[in-house]
Amino acid sequence: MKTLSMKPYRYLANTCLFLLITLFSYTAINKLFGLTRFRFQLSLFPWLRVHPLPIALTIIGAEIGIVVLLMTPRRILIGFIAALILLSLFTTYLLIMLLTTSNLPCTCGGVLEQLSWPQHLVLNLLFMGIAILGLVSEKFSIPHK
Amino acid sequence: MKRKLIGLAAVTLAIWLSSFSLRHDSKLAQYYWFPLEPGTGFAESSQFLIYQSGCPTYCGNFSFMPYCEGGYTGYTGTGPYYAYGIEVWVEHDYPNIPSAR
Repeated sequence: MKTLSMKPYRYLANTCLFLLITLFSYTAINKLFGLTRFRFQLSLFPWLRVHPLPIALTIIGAEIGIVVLLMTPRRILIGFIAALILLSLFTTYLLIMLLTTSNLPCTCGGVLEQLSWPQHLVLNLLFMGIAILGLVSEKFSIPHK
Repeated sequence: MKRKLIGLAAVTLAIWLSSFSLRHDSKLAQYYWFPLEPGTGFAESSQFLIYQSGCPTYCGNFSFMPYCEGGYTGYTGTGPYYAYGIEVWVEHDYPNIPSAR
């Protein structure tokens, strides 16, 4: 009976898992294969322009790391937390930049770079919500011993 | 096992989606985008300063309305902003007019 009531949480967690893995692997692939461009774009950003290459590699590494964590059954909870932290960092930086700078360059991977910054902010908030939802439903889907 | 399959499916989807976006030539150059007056082609002032490689109307706002935007190398003003420098790019979406790209 207990297992049955956990099923919806499991489905919800799996959906969040799928969405987050898709997002992070998509952006990581695009950044990795467009490393020169990504580095150039980072060099246009306030605060990040000092060391664009290490920052670019760190961001790509973090995204790949999150995908690996989310794909490892025993590390899924940590994966959700890591995804939430990274998305929070991106969102905080974006918010500060939007409030303090009028001239922001365009970046991010793939089709996401075509979004305007406010749209990007909404997307980030949406995926933060997905990460929170995944984290909570994953916790509820684990049977307590 | 099921979760590993979900993960693999997500990565496969991401690779498939990436194949579309990576196909485009990377454009390192970025421009300041201003709306153009359809009749004359002159740049209009803008309250927002948009600095990116591609046309913001077509890509950014998913506009369903016809648009005409020009990419410039510079700008003047502090809001409203005015186009300045060389007009290096024109993007429009008017029926019966071939794309300027």
